[in-house]
Amino acid sequence: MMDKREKLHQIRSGGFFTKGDAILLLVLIVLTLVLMATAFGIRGKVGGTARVYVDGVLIKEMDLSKNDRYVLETDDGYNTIVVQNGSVKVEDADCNDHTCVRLGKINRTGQTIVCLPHGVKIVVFGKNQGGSDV
Amino acid sequence: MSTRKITRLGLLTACGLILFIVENLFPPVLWFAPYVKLGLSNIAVLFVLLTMGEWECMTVTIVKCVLGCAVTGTWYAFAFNIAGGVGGAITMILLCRFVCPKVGVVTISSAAAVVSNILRTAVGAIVMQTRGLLLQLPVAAALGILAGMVVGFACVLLVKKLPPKLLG
Repeated sequence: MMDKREKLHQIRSGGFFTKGDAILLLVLIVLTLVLMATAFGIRGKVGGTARVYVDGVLIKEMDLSKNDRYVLETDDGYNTIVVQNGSVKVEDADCNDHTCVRLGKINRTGQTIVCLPHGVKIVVFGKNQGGSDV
Repeated sequence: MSTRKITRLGLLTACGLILFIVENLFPPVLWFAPYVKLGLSNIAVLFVLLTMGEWECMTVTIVKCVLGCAVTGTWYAFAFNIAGGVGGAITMILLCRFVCPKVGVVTISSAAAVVSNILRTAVGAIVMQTRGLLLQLPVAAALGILAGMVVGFACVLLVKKLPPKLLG
């Protein structure tokens, strides 16, 4: 086994890639593909309702078949939640990262919008009640 | 630990912190996967690992995560930052110890970024109690490969171009 100094010298003088890279890269690509297949496998059906949680507590349930607009006020700020054409999205919020807005619209069961700064979570559930299909 | 070493470590930690903060100013690379990031500060972490040592690398990672969250005020992100940071650092350390230089630094950096992004997303799913976030794992892994390469390239370039005196 080489010591640190020799390794550093090797990195300085060698190229960016070696033959060994192919193996590790292959492992990483296979891992990505496996995750992709799994994600497709557990992807939900088109959902029927959206539940809004604040700090894990259910605040409101919205029917995805009816267009609706709901301004959620929390201690930390507001999130404007809009149901439109069977999907739900956060249209506007005063949090500092706007991740919830950027996440866009969702409509499949299990899909989620989170707003970490406000502790808000919106999850799509199926048409029939019960969370077992998430 | 010599003064020289402490100074180096402090400066490199500062570099990592600056990269961390600058990256934080921009919106996430992928709008639908907010916990997946480029991890530019890992350039400093990897550089410390290559030029200084394993414990130094771990120290920089932890200090960077704590100070980074303090400076940017994003404490809600602390759990995944520390999980991703430490996970990535451990991956780098182990791969550098056992397979370097058979496997190049660029690919090692990729592996670390993949592990880091997967951990960030997984911890996000646990913290938010949201299994739906796990759907982002493939994106986390795929972007990790590319982001890790960028970080790895930058770091190898530094090692190659900097005068040997500065490499410790």
